[in-house]
Amino acid sequence: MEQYKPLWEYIPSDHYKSPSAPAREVVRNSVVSFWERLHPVSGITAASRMALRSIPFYLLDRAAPIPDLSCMVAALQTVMRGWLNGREPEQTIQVVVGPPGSRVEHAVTGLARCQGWQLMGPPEQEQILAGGTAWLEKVKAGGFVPLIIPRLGKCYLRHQEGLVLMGRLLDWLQTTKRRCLIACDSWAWAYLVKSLQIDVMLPNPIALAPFDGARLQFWLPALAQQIHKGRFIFRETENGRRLFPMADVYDAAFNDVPTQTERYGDWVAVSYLLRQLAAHGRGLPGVIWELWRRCLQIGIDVNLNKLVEAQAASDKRYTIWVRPWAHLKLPTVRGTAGTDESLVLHAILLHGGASAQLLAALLPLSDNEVRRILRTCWEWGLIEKKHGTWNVTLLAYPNVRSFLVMEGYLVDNF
Amino acid sequence: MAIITDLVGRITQANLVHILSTVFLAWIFLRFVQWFLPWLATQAPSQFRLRLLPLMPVLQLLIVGVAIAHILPLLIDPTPENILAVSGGIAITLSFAFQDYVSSLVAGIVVVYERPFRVGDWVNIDGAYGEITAVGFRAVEMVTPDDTVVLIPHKKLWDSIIYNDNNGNREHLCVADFYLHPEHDAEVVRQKLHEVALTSPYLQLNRPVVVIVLEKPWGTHYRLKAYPIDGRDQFKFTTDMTVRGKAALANLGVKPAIVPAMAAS
Repeated sequence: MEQYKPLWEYIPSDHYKSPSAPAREVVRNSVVSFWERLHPVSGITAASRMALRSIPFYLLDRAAPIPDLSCMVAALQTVMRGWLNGREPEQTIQVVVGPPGSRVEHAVTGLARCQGWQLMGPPEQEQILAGGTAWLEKVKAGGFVPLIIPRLGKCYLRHQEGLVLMGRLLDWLQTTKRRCLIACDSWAWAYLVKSLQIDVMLPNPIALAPFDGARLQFWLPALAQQIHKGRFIFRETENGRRLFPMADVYDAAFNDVPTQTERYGDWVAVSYLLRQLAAHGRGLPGVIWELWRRCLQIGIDVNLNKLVEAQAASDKRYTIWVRPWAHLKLPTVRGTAGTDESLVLHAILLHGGASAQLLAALLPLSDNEVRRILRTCWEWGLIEKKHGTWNVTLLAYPNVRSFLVMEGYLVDNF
Repeated sequence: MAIITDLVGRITQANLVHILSTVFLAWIFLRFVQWFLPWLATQAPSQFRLRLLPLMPVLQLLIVGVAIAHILPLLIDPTPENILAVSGGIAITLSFAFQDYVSSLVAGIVVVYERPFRVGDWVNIDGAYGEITAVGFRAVEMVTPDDTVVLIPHKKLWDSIIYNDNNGNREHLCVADFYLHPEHDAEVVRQKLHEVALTSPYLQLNRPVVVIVLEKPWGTHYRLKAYPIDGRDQFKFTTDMTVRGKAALANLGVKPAIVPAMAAS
């Protein structure tokens, strides 16, 4: 009999419901966000973001390390069990949709490696613009081994050739007998639903269940145990109360089944801060993880050298202070942002990241205009550049998404 | 006559200061509303813009109404007979001296009440096309796509046809026209133009995209109809659809019609 509730689980994407914020927070957030549009905080630049971190990175990486991907792969394996093992499944195609920061492509790739399935990466942008015929032939050429397309969102561009290629791929997917597992970015999925009605051609996708306050109550202390077992105590700065009073009780549970959360029948009181964290992060673990790291501080009287020395001792526990939600300064879109900024941010999200050259090719803006807008958005802390590709930062993602909603742009369902 | 004597008798120094300060305050408030609401509309998210701007004439009317209601009791006893007599006298005087002005003022009140257009709407009045930027007491102010300010007296409302493109909504329909040589596969072109609209970043994806095909003596006329996210971007949107459409049609090898300009004219 199942004793624990799963921490990571996949659900049909249309069952996804973002956690709701406490009523007080909804009012405060509305007032603050409007005020910040009128009077933007000037300090949130790339340089000051570094300075604001009062907890050193090495310690941060121990208190809130990168979430272990194996839990996601295990959850995916669980939900796919019937489909994986069935000889002739009802549907040959399965789709997993992941919002920004969900690392769904990594989870699917991990699963493909476990199963020894064929992985099909996306075509190069130049290939898409040239029609993508060679890439499509490669997709069709595989044998009977199930096929994994981990980044469907990178197989199209908001360009005529991009839509044509995606249309041809969908035509093939509808007729093939080969089993295919497809992972797609939630923004690309939303656009493809509107433009090509992909939701009619492919089965209803699944998505990772939202992380609400109750899940965070177990997940965040579990993260801190990944590297340094039980050494951190998280206290709220405002009142000194322990944030995870049940953590010790569930130590055993974490040890035995790290992918599980509270036992059935238990009642867990969720702190106000965690409810805020879950609501602002829209239940997305990647975004929540970034916000959580942003909340962590150490006391100013803590001697870091002593802390490092003392870490060697196995029985010591260290207090990490969690700053109040209202004191958290997050990047926001300024009131001066206009249509051009919206177009660039929207294009970046629709394509799961884009280079300056690609943005200039897709948008009715010159190279110089694109560079100027990217620079402005970077200064506001909204985007970051990695390997030549601009992405919306996970810290800014909830605010950027709200901004695009207010401006009337198409957004994802998560 | 007795009322006028009474009125003159009531204008004491204290009353005059009171009246002047009320008029001054009302003017300050009017100027503030005229500055604050457009400013707020630019700062607030775009979807609130067309809800904030139409408040301007209503607030202006309210301020003037309050000011009059405040000043009137200082000048006359606000009995029904007195108010009737004063307003009658004023009406007769104004109707002779400022007939057109009063007609515009009354039409201005009708505009606020009936709302044939609101601030932020794109309208065509008497051949002038542009965005309504202000609704004053006497005239409506419009800015054309060529950045020319047009003042249209409200009295035009009585006898002009008003074409309102968006009627208080953010989006309004845009059309990109393509004139093609008749020898081509119309189904392929129709599909391609549909895709062209879908690739435009200005497109409101929640509204339909329609391609209308009309066969003409000189060729085929395609009308690509779609909605931009924000009506203010209508010209950018139409341009973007046209540029993308021309490129796509050139890739298909479809030739443009040569004579439509002459035939159309």
